This record gives sequence, structure tokens and C-alpha cells, in this order.
Amino acid sequence: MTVREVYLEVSGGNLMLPINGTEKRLFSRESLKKAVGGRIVSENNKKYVQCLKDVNIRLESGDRLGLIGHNGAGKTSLLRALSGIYPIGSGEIKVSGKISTFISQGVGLSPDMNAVEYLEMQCVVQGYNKKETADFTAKVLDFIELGEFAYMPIRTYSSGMKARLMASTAIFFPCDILLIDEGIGAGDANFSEKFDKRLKEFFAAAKIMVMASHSNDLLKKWCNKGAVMAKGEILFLGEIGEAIAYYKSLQAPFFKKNKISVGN
Amino acid sequence: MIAWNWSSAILIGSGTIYSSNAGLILDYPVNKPYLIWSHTMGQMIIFLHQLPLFIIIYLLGGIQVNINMLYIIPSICIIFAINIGVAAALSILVVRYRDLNKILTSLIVVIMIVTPIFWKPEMVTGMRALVYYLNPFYYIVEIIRNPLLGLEPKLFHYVVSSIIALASLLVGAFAHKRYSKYVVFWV
Repeated sequence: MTVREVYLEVSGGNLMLPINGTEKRLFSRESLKKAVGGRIVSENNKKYVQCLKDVNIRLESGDRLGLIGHNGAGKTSLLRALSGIYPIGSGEIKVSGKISTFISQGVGLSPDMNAVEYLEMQCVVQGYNKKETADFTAKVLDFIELGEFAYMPIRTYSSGMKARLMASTAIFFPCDILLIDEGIGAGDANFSEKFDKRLKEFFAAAKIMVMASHSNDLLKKWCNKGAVMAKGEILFLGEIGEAIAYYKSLQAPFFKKNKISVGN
Repeated sequence: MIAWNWSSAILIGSGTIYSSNAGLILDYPVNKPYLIWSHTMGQMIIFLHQLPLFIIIYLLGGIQVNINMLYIIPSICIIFAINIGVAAALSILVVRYRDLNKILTSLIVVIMIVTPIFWKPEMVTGMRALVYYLNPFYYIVEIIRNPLLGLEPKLFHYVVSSIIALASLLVGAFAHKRYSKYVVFWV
């Protein structure tokens, strides 16, 4: 049996996000630029945010890449482009392996559905068949220990129960490549130890991981590579410690000017 | 009225297919035809739930059950096909131009008035008959109403409805193929 090589490669990736309805707006190009953080480009009387500019990355099995950058630097856009949510305008993305994306918690959650229905809906999104759905639902329900609440509307759950359900759903979908935004947290102190153990296993099982975060501690804990992004461009790509140091060096003049402590 | 409710719900509801699933679209590479299918299927299930009302109408109105009622099956298939195409096209158009849904909601009242739902087509003669002859909803309502009332359906209504279904599927398929990849930028 041959083992399939898992990799993720972006070459010359560019992504322009159209901003509709700005043609006749009163606010200026400068104020728009401040609002979105990216580079504003005008083409044919239409405005775009350049979310990604000439991005080149190749990740192979064992790579854990941390994306570092300020708000609007292009971290989430890169995750969305890698997962196929955003179609890139030019360049090429080559993927070998099953991708799992975790950008925000509780997507599709409705207060009137119960935990079982929520889990089944997540399985539909993943394209699971009936057997896979039943196995997945049983496994997650056993893990989150909701008891009889599993069949009660989510609106009756405490915030800790909701957090358990939403976070645990993500860490039971097996994948080769994991794309994750801002980490995962179960929120519940009593549950967190069990959750962290499962999270470690889940991260270890993924052959490639790309994590976007503002937390240097989190990135150091889970990643071995780092990419510093600004205005959709990758400014630095290397070992995680070096990437964080590079990012801090970029931030230093700003923080010094505003008397803010860098931390971490 | 039941047939009208079905079609008008598709017209108004299609606009929110993508906006109400924005979270999913922005977080997962969602199969968009699945969203259109589930919305259209949901509307059909609502329509099918209303059909038992006819048992009461038959009992109270003394309508004889006859073979013509079986024509409801092809009618449902044709309307379902129309709805798939309309939902595919409108969902994209409305997510791009959000105001369109409000216009459609207002327009639906006008369409209901010019469609023979509360009045009979025989009441309008001459050139004024174009009001319903050129109205696609007339044919949609007729192919549902006649079988449900046990009346012999007209082939002409089925031919026109089938042409509408084909045109709607073609427009829907084109809109989806050409523009669905941009939906993630518009939600």
C-alpha cells in the first residue's frame, strides 16, 4: 500500500476582495483603507482590498505554521483561500490531503436545535454518510457529557455547555491538513483538562497545521514555523521563534510611540 | 392559493438562501447547490403538508375524486423544476443586490393581483386577457388547481409550464456556473 504524500502549496497567490457599493459613498479612499487594514486597489472604477499579494508557501508533513500579523493583515483570508472558500484571483494552490477548516465556533448553530441535530448538521456539511454521522455523533456526545441535555434545545444550555459542544465538534473531524483561526477553547474550567488532552491528540494527528493567532504563547506551543503577514504579503517565513521576534521588531516603533507593552 | 403560496415563497425566500447561511459559506467550502436544493425541497415539503386540506375541501364541497387528480404528480415535478432554476438564479442576484428582495416582496402583491387566483380567467376578455396569458404564474397555478379540483388539465398549460421550467433551469444553471464562486465575497 502506498502512503499518500500530504502537502499544501501556494505559488504566486493573489486575492482581491471586491468592496461593493463604495463607488458613490461619501467616505474617502483613505478612511476605507483604515477600516479594512488591507491595501485598497481601484480597477475599472471598482474598489478591492488586496487580501493576499504574491503569497508563496509550501508545507509538508510535520509542518505547523503559525500566521502572525495585525488585524486585516490577511491571516484569515489566507486560511480561507487555502481551504477553497475564497477563489484566488491568480496564482495556484495545490493540495494533497483532506482539509478541515475551523475559522469560527458555532457555525450554523440555532438556539432551537438540540446537540444531536447540531452535530448531524455539521456532518452534512462534511459530506458524511449515515453511518459516519451516527459514529461521529455518538463519539462527540460521549465526550461532551451533556447527558439528557443532548436532546434539549441549545437555548436551554449554559454558556459552558454551549462552548463544550461547539469546540468539541471541531476536534473530532479527522483530517490531514488543519486550518485554524485563533485557536480553540472549551471555556469550561472543569472540562478544559479533558479537552486539552483531546486537542493535543487531534493536533498531533493532523499532518499539516496552519494556525492564525494573536497569541504568541499559543503559536509557540503548537507551531514550529511562523509567517509574518502585513497587507496581504508574507514579510517573513521561518522558525516560529524567529518569526515572533521579527514581528516584535516591526511592532516596536509603534508600541514605543503609543507607550504599550509588547508582552510575551 | 396553495400553489401560489408555494411559488411566491420561493420568489421571496430564494433571496435569503445565501445571506442566511453566510456563516457556513465563510467558514466551510460549502456545496452551494446543496443549499439551493435544501431550500427548494423545504418549500415543497411545506406545500405537501397543505395538500391534506383538500380532503376537507372535497368533503365540504362535494367534489368527486377522479382520475384527473393524478395529474397533480407531473404538475408538482414541473413546479419543482421551475423553483430549482428560480432559486439558483435569484439567490445569486439578491445576494449581490440586496435591495432586490424588498422590491420582490412588494412586487409579489402586484403579481398576485394580476394572476387569476381570486378571479376567473373567463372574466377578462379581448386584449385584457394578455394580463394572464403573459403571466407565467397563471400556468403554474392552473396546472396545480385543475387536477386538485378534478378538472381535466389543458395540454397547453403543461407545454407552457414545461418551457418555463426548462428556461428557468437554464438561467439558474448559467447564473450558478458563472457567479456562484463570487457569492463568498457578497454574503
